[in-house]
Amino acid sequence: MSELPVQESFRLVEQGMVYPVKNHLTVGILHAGHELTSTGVLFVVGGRQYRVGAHRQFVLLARSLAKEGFPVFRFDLCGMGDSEGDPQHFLEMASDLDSALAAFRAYAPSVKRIVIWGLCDGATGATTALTSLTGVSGVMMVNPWVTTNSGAAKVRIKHYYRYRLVSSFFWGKLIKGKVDIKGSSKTLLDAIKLVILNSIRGRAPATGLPEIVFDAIEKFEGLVSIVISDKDLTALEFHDKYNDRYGNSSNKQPRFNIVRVDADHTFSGEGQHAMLDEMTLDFVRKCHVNECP
Amino acid sequence: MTENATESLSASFLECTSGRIFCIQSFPLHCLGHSVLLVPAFAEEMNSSRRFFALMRRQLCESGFTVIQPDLYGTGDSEGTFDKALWHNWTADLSQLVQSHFRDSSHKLSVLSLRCGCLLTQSLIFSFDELPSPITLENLIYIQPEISGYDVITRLLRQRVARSRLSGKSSETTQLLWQKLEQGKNVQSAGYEIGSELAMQMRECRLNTKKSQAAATNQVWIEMTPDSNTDAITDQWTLHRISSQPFWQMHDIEPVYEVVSAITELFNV
Repeated sequence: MSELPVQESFRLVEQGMVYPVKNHLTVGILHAGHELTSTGVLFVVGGRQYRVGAHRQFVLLARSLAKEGFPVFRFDLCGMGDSEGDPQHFLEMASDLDSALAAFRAYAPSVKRIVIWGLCDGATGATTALTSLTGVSGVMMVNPWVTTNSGAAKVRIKHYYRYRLVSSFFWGKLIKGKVDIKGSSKTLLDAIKLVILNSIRGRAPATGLPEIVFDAIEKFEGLVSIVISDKDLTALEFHDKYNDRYGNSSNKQPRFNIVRVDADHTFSGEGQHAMLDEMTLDFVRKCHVNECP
Repeated sequence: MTENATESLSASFLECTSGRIFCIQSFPLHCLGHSVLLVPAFAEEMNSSRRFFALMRRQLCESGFTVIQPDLYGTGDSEGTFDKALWHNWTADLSQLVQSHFRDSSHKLSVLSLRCGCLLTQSLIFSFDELPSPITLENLIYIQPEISGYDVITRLLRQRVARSRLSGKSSETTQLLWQKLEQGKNVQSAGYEIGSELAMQMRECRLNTKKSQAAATNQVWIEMTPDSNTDAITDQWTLHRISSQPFWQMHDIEPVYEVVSAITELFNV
């Protein structure tokens, strides 16, 4: 692997751009990195965030990668942030990704391989679009979204209520009469009812979305890194589904690296962003070395 | 909304006092000779209201306005980090954009500000006094203005206090965190590192509509939620009520087309 030269003056090479996706004008930001680096990173925003991310999460990660020489592209999906159009379902982002990659490659011609970095349903949507994209060598999925009603109920019982029972804050609130006992009990009972009903009916709790995502990453030939935050119920649901599918040694997928970390959904706690930054740099370097031995 | 009503859209970085400021600009097909500067809300409220401002920009552009939407230094896509942001520099950057506007075009200028952006706009207007020639705005529109910079920072600090209580560390209070800021230390809350200097500068900011009452021909104060504080309003301002969810606090994007249309109607052309 050729050593990546550090871009000293990266402040000067962040560039805004406007490009079309179908009939809509879309806004993206290129972090140029080093002009000869062949691995670029495409950020796919999740939830209702725009290309900057909660507390500028994506801006800071992109600058960190660009400082290491990796070109980065952040963009708004149609109907989000500054882009035109109406918001669309996260499983229908293939055109957006295709156009973003075309714009990225046009402005950073050295980029031959792409690492996709996605958060929440951005990770899920990007993964399911992989078959229609070319040149993707790695996918980093951070707190991916595969929530189903029954899955969410199970996770709530397993992780959230168990935590509440041992939380001094919860017991303090309960003693002071600040807990809505009726409302909380109903929510818990609803969750239990849903899980039992699904079990009696013999319905598999995870149908649809989790299978689509796991099938997609199995077909994908590049590297896959999955990061699960311990304080994020949607991520824990993904982790449960992942264990259902790959928990047995016979099903293990050596290409997938899944880690659980002490963080919230957007890594907003003290020290959490630095941890994510380090994991991101490690994975992108690994993808780069993998392709440039 | 119809497609292609915008003649062109630019996304570029402008050299300002603080550094490279990211700016979205929309140029209409049928130009009224009138520009609107959008001044954003603070921290996560800025993120949550990004879609609202995008729709606002588009609607204004369809009505013939040129729209200028900058990200403040250390926020959005602009250069710098949040902990290095300074209120005085934000004001200076906006002032520079306003002066460039009047130097480079003969357009009238209006300002539309949201939440903490209203406090910043007030600082901007005060800064006009130091300019060699007077500046008068056409429309000055405040949406659900923040009244006090102290309250804005305190609310952000409260998120840290809530988080520490949830994790069993209940010793932190907003008063203790303010003391840290007063001692020149930065405080991290909800993913934002609040710079001591920014906090001290914001603590001094309080909305005073008497002082800025002659800044524009048409001055409108929009109240959207019933809990807003309208005591600071003076006779020179028109109070206008538009019923809406507090979209600047919501994670999900609510359709705000009606709000956007109602606000556009308030502009004197």
